[in-house]
Amino acid sequence: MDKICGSLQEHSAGKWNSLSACDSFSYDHGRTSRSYETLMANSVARPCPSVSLDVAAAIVHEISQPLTAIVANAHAADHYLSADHVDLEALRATIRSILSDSLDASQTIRDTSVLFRRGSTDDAPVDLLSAINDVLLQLDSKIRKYAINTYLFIDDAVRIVAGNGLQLRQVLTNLMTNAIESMEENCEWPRDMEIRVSGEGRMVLIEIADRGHGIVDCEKIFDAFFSTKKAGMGMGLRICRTIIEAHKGRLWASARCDRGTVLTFALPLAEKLA
Amino acid sequence: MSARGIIFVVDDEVRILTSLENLLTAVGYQVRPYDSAEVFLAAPKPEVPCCVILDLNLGTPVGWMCNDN
Repeated sequence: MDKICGSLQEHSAGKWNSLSACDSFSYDHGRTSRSYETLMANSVARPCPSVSLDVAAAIVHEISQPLTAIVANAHAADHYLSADHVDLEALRATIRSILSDSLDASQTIRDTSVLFRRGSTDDAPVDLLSAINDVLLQLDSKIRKYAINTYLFIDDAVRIVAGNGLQLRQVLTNLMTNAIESMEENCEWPRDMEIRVSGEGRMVLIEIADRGHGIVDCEKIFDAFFSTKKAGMGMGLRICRTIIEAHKGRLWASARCDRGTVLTFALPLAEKLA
Repeated sequence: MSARGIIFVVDDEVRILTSLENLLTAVGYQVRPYDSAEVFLAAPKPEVPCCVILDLNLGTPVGWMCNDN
């Protein structure tokens, strides 16, 4: 942890100036689907949501797909074993599929169970700097594997929010993982992930910017069944949005003018602590 | 195990497609898997008895178009 904090601050020292020089990341406003003001107005009118029907449907879908495949493959394995000459190669491939689908299903359950963990910690103060550092530490091997440069700009005055720390860490984990993985095939641009925490009125804005392949439709990526990845869950961002909305905040995506994507979430400042 | 006919499986969910293909192969069928209705429609069909297992909700109206054809 100390190592990560130290290297981050050192690493960021040279970059902070250039980040503070511009007020924010440069957005392509034409492609931003909703303005910040509209988002904030909506967040006031909207009641604190629980898990919506489409998220529940997506969870059912994401778990039932691998289970259906597991059942079909288990029957197949049974048939392979009953044959006069057992096809070991086919049997081995079948068992590997069963294993891989089982791991996917249990990963989905782990990823979604965070939504249902509520209770006394729901309105605890969450230190965003500490949460971000925890997540960066957790993603350290992925950051190294993809050779990502990480830059952090954080306004100390707005680093404490009220909420469920576990859920907010899950959101940060999903957004940073997406940012890192989007740069997998990026060879021309620096592989930079920039994290910025700043205040705007009574809200804290947390922005995670990448230099990845970008997105075509800033709203569709929140569709529970939509994924640009070849495999895996299409519901990660939908779950993130559900968590942020439950915190009376908003989560949205914007395209950067030149290359990449910014995912931003706004959370209300912790009143007593701010 | 001798071949008992050809089964076309059309499903855009890769794990459903491959597990069905595996199961039907294990019980002795020849299987032609397709992950999209467009590719299935364009593929040559043999002049022998066949069966089609089709996911109608392929994300486009093509699943239902296949059904009409």
